[in-house]
Amino acid sequence: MIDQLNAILKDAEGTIAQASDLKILEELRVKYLGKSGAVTEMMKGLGQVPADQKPQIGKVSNEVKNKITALLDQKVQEMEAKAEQVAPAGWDPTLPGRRLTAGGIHPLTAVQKDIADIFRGLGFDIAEGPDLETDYYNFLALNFPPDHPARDAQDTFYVKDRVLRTHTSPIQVRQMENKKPPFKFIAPGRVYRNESIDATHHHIFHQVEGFLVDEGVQFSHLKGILNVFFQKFFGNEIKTRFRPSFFPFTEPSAEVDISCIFCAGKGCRICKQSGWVEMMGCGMIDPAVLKNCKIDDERYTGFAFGMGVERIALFKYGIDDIRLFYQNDIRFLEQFQ
Amino acid sequence: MLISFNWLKKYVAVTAPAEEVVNHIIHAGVEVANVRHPGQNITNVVVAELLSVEKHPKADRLSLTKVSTGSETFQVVCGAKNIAVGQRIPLAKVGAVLPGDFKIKEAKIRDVESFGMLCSAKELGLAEDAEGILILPSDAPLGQDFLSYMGLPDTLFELEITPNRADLLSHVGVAREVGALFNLPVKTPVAIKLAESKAATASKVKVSIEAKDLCQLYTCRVIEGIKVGPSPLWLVQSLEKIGQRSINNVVDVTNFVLHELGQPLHAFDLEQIHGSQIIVRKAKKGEKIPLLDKTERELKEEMLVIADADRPVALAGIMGGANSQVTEKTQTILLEAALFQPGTVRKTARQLGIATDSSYRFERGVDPLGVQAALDRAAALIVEVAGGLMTQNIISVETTTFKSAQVQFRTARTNAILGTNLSEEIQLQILKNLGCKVEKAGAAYQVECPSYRLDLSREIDLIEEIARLTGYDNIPVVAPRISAALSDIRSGIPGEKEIRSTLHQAGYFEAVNSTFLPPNFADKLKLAADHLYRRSQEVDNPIADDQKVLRPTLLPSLLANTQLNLSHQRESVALYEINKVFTLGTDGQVAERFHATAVLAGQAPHAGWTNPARKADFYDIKGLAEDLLAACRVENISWEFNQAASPYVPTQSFIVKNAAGRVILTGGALNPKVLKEYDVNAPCFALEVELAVLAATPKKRQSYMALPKFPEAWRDIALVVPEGVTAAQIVAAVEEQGKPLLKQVELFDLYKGPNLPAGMRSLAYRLSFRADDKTLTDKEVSDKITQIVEHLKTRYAIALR
Ligand SMILES: [Zn+2]
Repeated sequence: MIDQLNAILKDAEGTIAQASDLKILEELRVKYLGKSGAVTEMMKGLGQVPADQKPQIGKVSNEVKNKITALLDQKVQEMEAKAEQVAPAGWDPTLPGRRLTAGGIHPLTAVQKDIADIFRGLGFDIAEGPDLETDYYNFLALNFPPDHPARDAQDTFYVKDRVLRTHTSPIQVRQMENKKPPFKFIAPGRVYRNESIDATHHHIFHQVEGFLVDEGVQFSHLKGILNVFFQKFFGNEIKTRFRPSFFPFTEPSAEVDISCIFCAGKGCRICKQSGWVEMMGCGMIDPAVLKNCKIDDERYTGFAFGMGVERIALFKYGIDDIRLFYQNDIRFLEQFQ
Repeated sequence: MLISFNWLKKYVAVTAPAEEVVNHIIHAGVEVANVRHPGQNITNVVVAELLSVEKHPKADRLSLTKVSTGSETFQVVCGAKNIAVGQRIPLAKVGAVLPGDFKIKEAKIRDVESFGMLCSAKELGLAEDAEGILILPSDAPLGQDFLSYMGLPDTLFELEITPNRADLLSHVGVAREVGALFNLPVKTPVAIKLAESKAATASKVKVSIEAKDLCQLYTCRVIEGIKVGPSPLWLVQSLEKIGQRSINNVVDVTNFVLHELGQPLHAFDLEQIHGSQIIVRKAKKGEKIPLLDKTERELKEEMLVIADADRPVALAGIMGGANSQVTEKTQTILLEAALFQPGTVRKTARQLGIATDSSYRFERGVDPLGVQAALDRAAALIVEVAGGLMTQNIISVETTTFKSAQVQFRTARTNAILGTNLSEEIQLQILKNLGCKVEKAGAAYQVECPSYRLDLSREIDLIEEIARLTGYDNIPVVAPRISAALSDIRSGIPGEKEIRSTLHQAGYFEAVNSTFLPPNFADKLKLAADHLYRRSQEVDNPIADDQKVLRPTLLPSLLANTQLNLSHQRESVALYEINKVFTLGTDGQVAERFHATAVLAGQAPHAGWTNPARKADFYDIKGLAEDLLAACRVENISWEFNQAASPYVPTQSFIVKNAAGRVILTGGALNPKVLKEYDVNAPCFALEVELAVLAATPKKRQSYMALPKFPEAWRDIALVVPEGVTAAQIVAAVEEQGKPLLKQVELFDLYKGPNLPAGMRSLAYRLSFRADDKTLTDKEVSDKITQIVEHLKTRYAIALR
């Protein structure tokens, strides 16, 4: 009987080694170890074996069963491991995956949202105003007297008794008049200038206005907040520089330059070799504007800033012609997803 | 405005190099657009005279010249055509160096020897562009070094002066600024006391001001016996360097003093002044004036003129009249220096479309206390360069006496506004450097501002000056403490977020277009006469005729964008814009609203290798509308079909209204005639959302519903539907009959074809049933299906397939 068992084992070693797929292995498992398999049959016959041989034969038959089981398991593992490494015929994982070809936001909107998000994180609210403004909100309340040359910089479109706003600053007045500080707003919007179009000018463009009015607001705070803004927008290595300038509705007024992101301030074509790029205008809100809004200009002070969305987008993406923004060529738009 | 550094140094002894001066003034808030260095890197160029000009023996286009420097004669080959014997020209001798390190050597040009080069202004670096050789005045001294003759080398600053700094519109003004920045004294030019004749000026001319509110001060002098002619070299040089053309000695002096002191002046030929009378008055109706620019202008009644007894002889502060101009024959001049009200000068100049150096300065404001000094300075210079004698005394008519601005100033306020810690001493020193007079007045200071700084009249103005001159770099950088008061301001356009994300998922790109449309847009869209979009408003002063109308719809711009993209062989164009539209209300007011408009043309988006391309159709744009409405969770809306007018095809259109009957959106296939107008050669679909109506439409509350406890059973039914029965009717009937077990009806197939009787189509639905309290049996579901099918059969003659 022991010989028979060893013969079964030998046979199993041979057939398992030669088995070529998992299905054959499963058949072999049934053949040797199944309900009526060869080893099972032998073990069923154990009852007729003389008592003194029982332990010996029982032990051998168990060993044979375990060995065959181990051989089968090992062979299955080998085959499965092999199967994982072999691709079916015609399989090509380099074919593109199934994608949803999503559309996307316009770069000008994206920049506008990025700006607004930073200031909302700093505690500013969003305000809006009409595109068709009165002369009062667009000019007079902002300290532009009638027939003053300061209006020259803002060539104006007229629509009956209204103007198309030349800047987003009227929103300052609309938000502040007859209300009590503190105020802290970001006001994005489209603005209009009656000038001819070239690579850097368009008769419509977009601005984001920001202003903060409270007790004890100082020019140093304006520098602080714009510094934070530019570092969040362009990166921590960005430096800012403030130069005196003139706007009728702020005093002191400043132009803000930032270090060029393309040459790290060393000078290149984009910054005209200066290392700096003009980014926005700002200043302390002129007391005359606060007075026009019936705000106590001795108790409250504030700052305001206004940036051109196009200018920032041109710079951020290295675009050299503002007209691309308004052509809406999808080959352009899909670059900003 | 051009400022010559050499000229500037006459008034302030600045020793710093030009670069440092530029750097300082930039940081003080003056934009420097350009810095040029005429005459730099030039050696060995002298004044020479052309002795002969002949054709080059071997080259038609070249000349062979002989030139003399007075002591030497050279043979020079020259290519220019503007030369003639007797002219004086700049000669670059052998060994000379021109800008760009261009060295002049002996040369053989087409076998002829040439010793030097005759120079153009461009070759000398004096002009960007120049044709021909620079011809010098005939009195240019032979042999003199060309640079010293021209007052070169020099540095020219091109400054851009902000409208508040009228005081910087002259060399003395810039000198004051440089003096304040470098802490240097400024010498203003003083008129040398010149002899006056016995004759009283008042006996020569009578001056009166009628328009008292438009002219604060009118001063003048009379100079007799002058000789009008060319200006001396120093005067020509000074003006030409800063881009001013020399005209004659009298006009050049007035121009020189304008650029020196900032006070515009005008010289009249007194013999042409009728009645020996100067009247400053408003123009009379229909009055005309011939101007120095050789045009004749008709004047409006509010325009300020200088008139004689009969007629206007100058447009006050803007331009002189041709009827009284100084000519070679002029012997007696009336020299005017006045103060005109800035607003009137600006208004008239703009109305007539004239801008002069004079009007530019009057508009911004000239120094009220500098008028007489400028008059005397100019009179003295005229006598110096044109001879003659001044009559006795100045005439000065004043309507308003100028008072210097007095400002209460607190040094603590400076630090409170700027966030600085500047000492009292530093602050006061800056004000004094600027020409302010400072006196202690209690706890504060009383500051008298200089008359030439009309922009200084309030404490904040002085604080700005202190900030400017200490440098903005010296103001600290501090993070503000932002008070956390809550506001009730809502952010952004309602629904914008949901609409954008739906559109982006659907493959649409955002477009941004101009607000202006051509007036024919309504005809191109084939709009009915009473269409809302025909109630549009035009801009009074459009940039061009085709950009006149404030757009009442975003569609035309998006169609133009579509055309552009299709023209690039793009097969699928899906664009949207969210922006303001403008319509004229019945009240005559222009209303601003937000639209979200989407356009789809060509193929449907999302085609790929597992999702074959197909043409976009009505159901793409309808599906987009459904997705948008679902994303916005609007409630109680109704759909209308076959109702929308052009630009849509009515039978392929939809209008979605809210319970109040207001239109949330309109969409469908665009009229092919409209597409033809926009050269869109592909089927095109659009939808327009009224964002305000969308915002006002009630939204479904988002609330949790318990998950079902019992399983769902579903059955598929394929129906053969006769013509005229709509999907909406079928679904309504199925839903009605399926109550309460039917939970969902979903179309999964549509078939039309040869296997069906003519006019019939087959719709296949999956119906899902569920009870909330038990698992449905097969029979319960089958009974429901039978009921539904029976109903469809009797009600609509629909059969099972
Ligand atoms: Zn750079």
